[in-house]
Amino acid sequence: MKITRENYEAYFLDYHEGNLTEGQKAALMEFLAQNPSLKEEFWAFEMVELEEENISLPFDRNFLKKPVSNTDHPSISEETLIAYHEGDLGDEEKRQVLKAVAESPEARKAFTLYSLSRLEADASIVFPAKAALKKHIAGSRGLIIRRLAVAAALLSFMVSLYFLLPGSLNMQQLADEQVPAIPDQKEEISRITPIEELPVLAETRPTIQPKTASVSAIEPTPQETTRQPARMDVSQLAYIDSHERTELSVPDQRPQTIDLRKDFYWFTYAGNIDIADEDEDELPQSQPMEEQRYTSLASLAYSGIERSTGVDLKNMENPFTDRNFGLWDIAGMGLAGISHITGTSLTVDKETDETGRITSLGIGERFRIRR
Amino acid sequence: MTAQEYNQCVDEHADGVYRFILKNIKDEDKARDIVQDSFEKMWTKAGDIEFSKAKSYLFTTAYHTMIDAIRKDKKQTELNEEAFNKHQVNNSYSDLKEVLNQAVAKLPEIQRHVIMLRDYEGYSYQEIGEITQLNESQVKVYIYRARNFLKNYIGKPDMVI
Repeated sequence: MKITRENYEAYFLDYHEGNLTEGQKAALMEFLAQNPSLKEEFWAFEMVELEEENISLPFDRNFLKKPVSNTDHPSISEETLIAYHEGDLGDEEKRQVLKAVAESPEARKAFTLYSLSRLEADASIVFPAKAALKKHIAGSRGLIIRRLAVAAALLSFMVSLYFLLPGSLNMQQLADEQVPAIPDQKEEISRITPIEELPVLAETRPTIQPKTASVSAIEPTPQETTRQPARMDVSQLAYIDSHERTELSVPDQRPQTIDLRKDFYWFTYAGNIDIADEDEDELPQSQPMEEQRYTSLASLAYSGIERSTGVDLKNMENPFTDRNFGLWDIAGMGLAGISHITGTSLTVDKETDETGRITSLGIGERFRIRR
Repeated sequence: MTAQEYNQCVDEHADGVYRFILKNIKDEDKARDIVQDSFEKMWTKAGDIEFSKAKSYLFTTAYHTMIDAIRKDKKQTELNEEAFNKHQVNNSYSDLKEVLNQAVAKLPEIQRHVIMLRDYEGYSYQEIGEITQLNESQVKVYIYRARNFLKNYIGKPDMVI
């Protein structure tokens, strides 16, 4: 192609880039001789050079480098030693590592340090409130009702018991204190009416017919005034029907002559607590009746709930108070149970005298016991 | 997952999750809150979670809850770590566990997380990746770096082991 004033720039550039043949160079020189005004422009092309930009990596280039072995064995690197301890190597590679470790003191030292660098969980660190995390609701409405109802039964029991107590007894104190045990249990137990003679215990479960909860107490004979244990039949007072409003009745006569603070202890047949609700099929089989001895009202409540629901409230932390469930927590649960079953919103009102002794208990507006 | 299986998770994993969180944030109350939150979250989705995946779900939830808590309280955490390190730096150690604890505290956050999941719970690279939302290669790199740091730390001449 002939060099003209229309295309000379491309030839100028190619000349300086070294892209022209000898013939093209000669033609270009002849063109410049004929057009001397373009010589200055020709040499200006020579200065057109791109300077190397000083751009560096935005991070340390060592980041990209592979670790270099600081062991004195050619076949083993730090990476290999780590891979060995991470279980990333095959059998053959493991054998090579062990061989190298056996041959090289440096490799052996590094190998040992990697072995020691593994962290071990501190077994002494345990979650402090595991019980509070657990869920005791299986998702079945029947089971929820049953558990709440058992709690309600216990509340009923406690309210009823309060009514039975002599005037000098502080119920809160009774709940908190351990009542001294009676030395000769066998002798005391032998005085109790045999289980078979109690009408309600003749059946494994109470019938659905009764709509009341009641407390039965055996009044002591005069000669047994100070040693006769009171009998609380939980299976009777625990009966609550979800379809009917629960009524609580207590006997007119109180066992005033019993010295509760010294000699009172309860026998209950907690395994026989049974609650009826619409999910009859889910009710557990009645368990064999078993006599249990309780030295405080709280232990009775704990045991009753554990036997009936499997929930160990005694060792369970109440997430709302950060303390273990106490007797009044259980009472509160019982109230929630009654509220749930009856569909009403109930509250417990406590009145105390100047010494802190409870003088009355009320549930809602319709039920109140006063000393 | 049934309530029974959930409760089994509490028995089997509550300590591990608590340990993992506590070692990272060094605050018992916060660790306890995070564990409780994580279990509550798991319970609310119990119907959708298979029992076999429960542990992974739990650690993932706890991990992200912890990260949120750390970000929320970043400044305070850094101050605590600084104080912790300052307090420890001049001590002479004769117990490997103490030395390792100090070394772990000096690890970058992400390396500390992955190495703890690896060593405390025995998670695979893939499982750790699922928990921390890293890919497997990243997890492996972080573990290798952490391991190398720990090895060099406990192998320092002034460390008497």
